[in-house]
Amino acid sequence: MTAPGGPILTVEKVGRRFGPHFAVEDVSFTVDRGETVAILGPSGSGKTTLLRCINFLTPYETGRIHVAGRLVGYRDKDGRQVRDKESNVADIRKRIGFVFQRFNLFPHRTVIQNLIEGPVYVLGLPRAEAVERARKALSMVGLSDKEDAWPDQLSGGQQQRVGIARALCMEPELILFDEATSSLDPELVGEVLAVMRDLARSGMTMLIVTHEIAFARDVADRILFMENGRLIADEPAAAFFAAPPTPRIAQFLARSS
Amino acid sequence: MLSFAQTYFPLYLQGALIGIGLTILAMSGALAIGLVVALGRVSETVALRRLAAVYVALFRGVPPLVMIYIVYFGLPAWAASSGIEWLRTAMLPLDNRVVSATIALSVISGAYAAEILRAAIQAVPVEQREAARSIGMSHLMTLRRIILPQAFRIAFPPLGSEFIIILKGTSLVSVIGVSELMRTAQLAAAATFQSLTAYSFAALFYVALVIVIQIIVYLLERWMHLPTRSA
Repeated sequence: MTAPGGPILTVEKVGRRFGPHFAVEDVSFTVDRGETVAILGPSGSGKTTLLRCINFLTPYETGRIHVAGRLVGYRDKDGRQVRDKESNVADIRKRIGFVFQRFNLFPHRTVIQNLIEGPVYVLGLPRAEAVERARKALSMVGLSDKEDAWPDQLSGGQQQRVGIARALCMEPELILFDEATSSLDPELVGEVLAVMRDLARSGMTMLIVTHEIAFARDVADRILFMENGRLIADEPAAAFFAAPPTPRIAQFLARSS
Repeated sequence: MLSFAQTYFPLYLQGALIGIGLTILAMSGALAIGLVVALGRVSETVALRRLAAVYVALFRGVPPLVMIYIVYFGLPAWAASSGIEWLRTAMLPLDNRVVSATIALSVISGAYAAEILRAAIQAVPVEQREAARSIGMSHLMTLRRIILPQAFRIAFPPLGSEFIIILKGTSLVSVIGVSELMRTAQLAAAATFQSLTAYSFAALFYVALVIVIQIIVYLLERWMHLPTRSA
């Protein structure tokens, strides 16, 4: 375990290829506990792949990722890195929340069932305690009245707030947001961003892939900028926006906001 | 016709019940086989995938009547002539007509059920698996709690059709003397020389049974249906 305040996430020289093409190449950065970090960059720059590497939904091929001091997806064997057991990967995933672009709620379970699924069946919490935790998370995302609704009865914005609540119910040490508002109608984006803003202010550690530049400027402590699979900027948000590190980034920001 | 119906109704009803019972047994077997084979078909292990594919190719190809002969006449005779004691003992249950019939129908329908279930499992979006994994679920738990419950809803209507196909397939086991509906009709025809009446009466029973099954399948389908915003 790292000390509180130390890095919860360490990414070192991470790479992932799809065929001959590097989706992510030689990316390194750290995220401290309590930090909110936004990853910006054009479409296809590898932001989502990088995020998926962190909880090993997409296995990275080179480099190392540590979450709370544990190597993700691999273990050392005679000095070489070999694939870790699935149960160890699952163990790390319990500590990392993931919010998907397309929500991915379980359609055959009600809202409350979606929320207690992980706590009861993965963490082994007593049902009553899981329900209590779920209700707290639902009130945090402003959906206390939707406890018994089915996912398909909810709007996109509501579904995504349930998605965030589902991640919260695992009491993760870090939550990854993969373009959490990109598949929402414009008028529904605000309610989801508001929840994310509250979360960031409550001290949750968050790594956010987003196209919402204004939101990143408002909420993020630090900005990572990716292009062609590489990390080309890693700066405090204020500095990043006050003086964009490269002309290319300045151009991107001008066009996106 | 009316007097025929009066005389033979109880016997036909008994035959129909035996047919239904046999269908339920065979369908249970088919579902068990189908689930195992379907999981083999979507397994990450190449050998399992191939094995499952061979099963489907083989047993979808064998006509049910041929299978019934193989299981009831073929296997016990082969075991007896092999001189291997444990094999002969293992095949003893096949002397029971119902056991043989159940196995033969299960093996064949299992291949069809496997294909239905495989398609249904693959129809569940891959994102569902990822969502389950993201909260730390194991492969097995993901399958059991997230994938299969959704796949089963998708598979339900075609499995209902398979149930009907098995029910009609039970008419074939009359050839090994199981006293189901068809066998009853044969005996009635032989006793009365009223072939048209005897077999038409059996046909009516089959149609009635199938309609009842369709209604039950429809009701179950509606019961399982998940509410949506438009509903």
